[in-house]
Amino acid sequence: MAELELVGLSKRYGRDLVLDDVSLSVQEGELVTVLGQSGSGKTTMLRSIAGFVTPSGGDILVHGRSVLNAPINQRGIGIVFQNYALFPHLTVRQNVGYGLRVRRLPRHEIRERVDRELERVLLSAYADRKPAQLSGGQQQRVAVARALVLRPRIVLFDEPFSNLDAMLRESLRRELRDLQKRLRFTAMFVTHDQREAMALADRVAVMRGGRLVQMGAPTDVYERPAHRAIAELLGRANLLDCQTAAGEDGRALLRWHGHTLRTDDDLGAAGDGACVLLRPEHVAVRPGAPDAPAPNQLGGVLSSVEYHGPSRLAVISEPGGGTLLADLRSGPADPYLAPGDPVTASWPSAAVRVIDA
Amino acid sequence: MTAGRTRGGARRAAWLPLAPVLTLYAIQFVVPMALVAVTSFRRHESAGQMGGFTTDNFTKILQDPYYLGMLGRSLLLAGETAVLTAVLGYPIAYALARGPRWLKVVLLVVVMVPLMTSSVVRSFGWMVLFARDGLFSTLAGPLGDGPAGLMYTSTGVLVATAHVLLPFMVLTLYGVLDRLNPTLVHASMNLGASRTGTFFRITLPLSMNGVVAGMLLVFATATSAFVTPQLIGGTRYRVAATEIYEQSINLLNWPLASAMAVLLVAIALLTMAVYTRLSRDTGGSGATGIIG
Ligand SMILES: Nc1ncnc2c1ncn2[C@@H]1O[C@H](COP(=O)(O)OP(=O)(O)OP(=O)(O)O)[C@@H](O)[C@H]1O
Ligand SMILES: [Mg+2]
Repeated sequence: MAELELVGLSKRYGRDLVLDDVSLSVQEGELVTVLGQSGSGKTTMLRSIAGFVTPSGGDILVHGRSVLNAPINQRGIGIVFQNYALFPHLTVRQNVGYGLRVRRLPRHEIRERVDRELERVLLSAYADRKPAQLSGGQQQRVAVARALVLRPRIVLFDEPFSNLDAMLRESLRRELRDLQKRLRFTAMFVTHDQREAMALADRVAVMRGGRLVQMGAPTDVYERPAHRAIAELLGRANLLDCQTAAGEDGRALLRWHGHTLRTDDDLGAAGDGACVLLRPEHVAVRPGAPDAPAPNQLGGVLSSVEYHGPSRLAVISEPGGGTLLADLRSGPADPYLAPGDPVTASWPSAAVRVIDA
Repeated sequence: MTAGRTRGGARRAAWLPLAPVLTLYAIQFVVPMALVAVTSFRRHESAGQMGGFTTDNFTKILQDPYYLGMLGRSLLLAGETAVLTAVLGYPIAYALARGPRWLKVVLLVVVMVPLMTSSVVRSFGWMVLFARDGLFSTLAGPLGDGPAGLMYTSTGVLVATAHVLLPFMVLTLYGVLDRLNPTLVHASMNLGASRTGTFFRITLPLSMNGVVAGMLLVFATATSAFVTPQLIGGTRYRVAATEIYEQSINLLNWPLASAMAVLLVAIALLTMAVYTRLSRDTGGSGATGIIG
């Protein structure tokens, strides 16, 4: 049975439908990341689950039981807020021990559990400081410890790392993933950052305009986006608007600016046109014009190259006016490509993904 | 050197626009206060006549139980007013900060309108209610004396003074409560605390600075309250401020009146110094500073 289930959850603020019929379920011990643009309703969803927001419709089930009528302080769902929300007048130790003290546990037990939790997040040395005397990353870890010390079965994270620099983010992300696997809690993790969303997740839930538009394993969502907007949300994408045509062998072909694309996908459902996703990292580039026209290949001129370290992003203009992005892995002995050079781009038919919309 | 001079110059330039106000302030407050201070050290010869310099006025006030009681009553009234306004003002400020819009509007009007009417008018209002045959007496009639006849009593003066000073308390508390991050309340409840528990563990401690600041402000103002004690306390319930009036206007004992005034101002200034110190701590990196 699912640990957490949302059934047709809706929230309306005045005339705005901020959450629109969201249904999803999270399994025990699963980590679901929620990805979506600003204003897509991610925070509202978490706040509804925690009980800070009363939904306008739908239901929230924990182990199959509705928690809609349970007050905030009896839901047993932990939350880590985006802005930490640490109690400024309490020390780190008192912050982490807050939930235990509220439960009137014996003093020595509180102390033991708080100490253990502080050790876990590497903050034992800071136990007697006030939150204002901590760095952002340390405050973040206090917030995580404060939620986890109560051992909630479900923990919600609302963009907890958004204020931190990239390095710290990555290490905290890894620590969190470790912790989650070890303590085996069920988690929902909201983020803006597509890399973070994919790196952390068992499954990614993509939200758009208050709706859940796709949910699946990171590879599924990345490689089989249900919508072109999702494809762009998850990383750089070539989205090519193609015409469909009948090939000589009876298999359908796609045509884009006079070039022929072959795909392994089934084109049966597509009408006259189809949107194709071609990820830049699947496009290979070699210097010089093509020898002869061929499917899944085009000649063009390199219009710019951006150096990214491990890779370089090439923008290729083809004669018909289209542009194609290609991600070139940097090697120790790369052929020198300069803007203005003629190049040939090619890709395997497996990389040509037909998107519904 | 150069930097220092520039900074000094900048500081001087910043003061310049304040000059007219400061001049006015000097004429209106500093000069009369200085005169009062000087007068307080003069000898009282007879009504309206002053002799050489002495400290007799202060010794008299601080040794005569009559005057000492007067000062004590003033301080007690101020203290009680501070407590009463805090107790009454906190829920109002809380509702102002957290309540629904309509309630905010209603409360703002209820709290602010008295601030815009003269304290004479407000005191007369209370006189109507407190009088022997006033509304309170009539209502409480069958219950015996009860709240009836609050005129010329300490309770009457306290209630009326608290009413006059309540807006200052409410506005001070509102400032602090409004800046308090509402997510902290959610965080506390999410960790298992009840609404009441959250109030006493989070909201109240984080607004305590405001309570103390408000109480000091009200205390300092109440020590020098004159109109309300004069109209409602009359001659039967005298506080320092009304006694000063009596001494200076009716008995023409200006040195004694001045000495009492100096003592009152000293107490008020001391309280305000503590208040400023506290509000600076609050405004800076103090407890409430970082949660905004
Ligand atoms: N209390 C509220 N009253 C009215 N509208 C609200 C309220 N809270 C949120 N909204 C609206 O609901 C929409 C979704 O807000 P929400 O905070 O859930 O977005 P989000 O996906 O978390 O965005 P972000 O990534 O920027 O945090 C926004 O358009 C916002 O303006
Ligand atoms: Mg949000």
